Formats: sequence, C-alpha cells, structure tokens
Amino acid sequence: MPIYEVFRQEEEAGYLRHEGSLEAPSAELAVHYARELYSRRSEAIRLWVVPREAIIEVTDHDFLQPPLERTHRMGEGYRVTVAKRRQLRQGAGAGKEGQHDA
Amino acid sequence: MTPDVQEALCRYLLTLADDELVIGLRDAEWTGIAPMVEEDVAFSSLAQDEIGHARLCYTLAAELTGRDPDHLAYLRPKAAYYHARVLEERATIMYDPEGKHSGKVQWAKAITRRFLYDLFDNLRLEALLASSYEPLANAMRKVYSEERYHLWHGEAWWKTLATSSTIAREHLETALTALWPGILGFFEDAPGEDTLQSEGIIAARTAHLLTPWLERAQSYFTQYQLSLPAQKVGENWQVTIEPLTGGRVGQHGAGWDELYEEMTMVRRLEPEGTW
Repeated sequence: MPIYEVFRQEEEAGYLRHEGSLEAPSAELAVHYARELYSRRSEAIRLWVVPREAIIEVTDHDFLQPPLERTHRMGEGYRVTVAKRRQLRQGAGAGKEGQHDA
Repeated sequence: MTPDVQEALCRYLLTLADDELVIGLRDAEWTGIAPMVEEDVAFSSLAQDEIGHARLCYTLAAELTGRDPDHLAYLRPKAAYYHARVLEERATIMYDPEGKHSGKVQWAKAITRRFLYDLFDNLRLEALLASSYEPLANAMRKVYSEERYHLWHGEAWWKTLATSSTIAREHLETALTALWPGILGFFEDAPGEDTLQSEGIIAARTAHLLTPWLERAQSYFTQYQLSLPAQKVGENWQVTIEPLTGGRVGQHGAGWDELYEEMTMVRRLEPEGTW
C-alpha cells in the first residue's frame, strides 16, 4: 500500500513542516487520513499530502558534505570580518563604533 | 407553533437523532479493529461526528419540550426509538469475556451501510436547510458541511471495494444483498411529516426522498457495473425488494435489544447522576 508524507502549516505566516507519514489505498483516502492524523484538533490551515515515491531523497554524504575545505561559505567568515573592521576602526579613532556594525 | 406541529417536529427530530446516534454507536465499535490504523482513526472520527449530530438534534427536541437531551438520548423506553432498523445491526464480533465470541467482522457491510446511509442523510439534510423552523435550519447547515466529507470518504471506499480485487467486490455484493431491505427502510415516514411539510419545516417527506436517492445512487452503481434492486419505468422507479420497515414507529430487532442494553447500561446505574 502506498505511503504518503504529510506536511502541515499551522498559521497564515507560518511554514509547512513535515509531521509524519501514513499508509492509504488511494490518494482520496490519504487526504482523509491526513486530516484525522495530523489536524484532528483543527491544528492545520494547510496540509500537503505527498506520495512518498514523488519525493527525491538525497543522502549522498560526499554530495551533501563535500570533503574539501569550504570555510569561505561559512557565516563565521563574516563574523571574523566584522571583528577585524571593528579593530581597525578603534585604531583609526574613537566614538563612532557601532554605527556601521549594528 | 400549534401542539400538533410541535409534536410532529419533536418526533421528527428524535427520528433524525436516533438514526445518527445508532449508526454512530455501531460504527464506533470499529475503534481498534478497523482494517488499518489510519482507517481506524478516520472511521471512529466519523462515528463521533454522527453522535455529535445526534446531540444537536436531541438538544433541539429538548428545547421544544423542556426536557434534558441526555434523557432523550439514553432514558427513553426501548420502543420509543425511531431509527431505521438496518442501522442497529452489528457488523463486528460480539466480544465475550468467557471466550464465546459471536458474529463476524463485516467491514464491507459497515462501510456500505455507511455510504448508502450518508447518501440518504445528505438528501434529508438538503430538505431541512431552508426550514421555516430557524433553529433547525441553522443546526442542519453546520451538519451538512461536515457530512460532505463523510460522503467523500464513502465514495473512496465504494470505489476501493468495487475495483481493488475480486474478493473485495464479492464482499461488497454480499453486503448489498443482505442490506437492501434495510436500506430501503430508510424511506419510511415519521408520523406527522405531512404536517411538517405543509408548515414549511421540511421541504420533502422522507418517503419522497427515495426517487432522488435512487437517481443519485444510480451513478455509483452503473459506474462499477453493480445492480440496483430497482428499475426506472418512464419517470418512475419500481423497487423489486420489500423494504424492512417499522423502525420509524419503534419496531426493532435483535440488534436493538443488544445495543439498547449496552448503550443505556451506565446511564441506568444512576439516572439522575451528573457526569
């Protein structure tokens, strides 16, 4: 029997989050079961019910966690830059700190 | 409202409520034993909805008569319940603590009865949406919006039983053969429906829902090459099976003996108790 994955959105400004899965003989029944299992107490304003087979799963480690160094893509790099700028500015003259970095 | 109109309305509301309560209780027996856990939750939830609709109708009847809805639901004499008889039949195994269980699991029967009842119930509700009795029209509009989803669930199962395998289809056909007289028994008038119709409280008498029901059911039958026990001759339908009637005047069978005993058991322990 096909498996369906269910995503739920709880409020207008919210996002869809994966909540779980279910088994159903048809898409029509999957929709019913999704409501009963994942919005039984009116938690959802939107559900996505997706046949599991429609999902492209990616778990390849080398693809997702490439072995080569990529620290230039990490956010920390920018923090270092911010700290360096602050140091430079402090060296150049006092009083204006924070104006640009805030 | 004159006393005879009030009496007819009260009887009609009880009939409606009893149908919903009885199918709700019977279907609730599937909790824990439906074919899949997902369906278990879904079917039990539909059963709860029906009990909720029953409560709404008992409350309307209670407002008319100044009685308590719980008394109407659980403390009337056994012959003062007016549901269609097929609804009281058990479709699950009767559990016996000593191990002498009886009956068998008849999922196709439960789901088929449910779907064909919902088709009927939808037509009946449509005849109440514009009722001149405002509280009834308001309540039934809410019920109607929930019942749409019941029908949708039933349609999905109808298709599954009719097409998924030879065995499923056999189960469906066997269930239909057994259920027909009882299904046709839905269309028995409650006493006083002619009065209610002339007052504009109901748009159609229950007996007059048979033709539109057959028209609506026909598409579900022909779609999957299933046969109806009725033929259209010109504009009229000729039904070839004798309906099982009597429910609307309080005549019931063994299924009711058992269900009445069970559903009133706790309430009778402490009739005036607060729960």
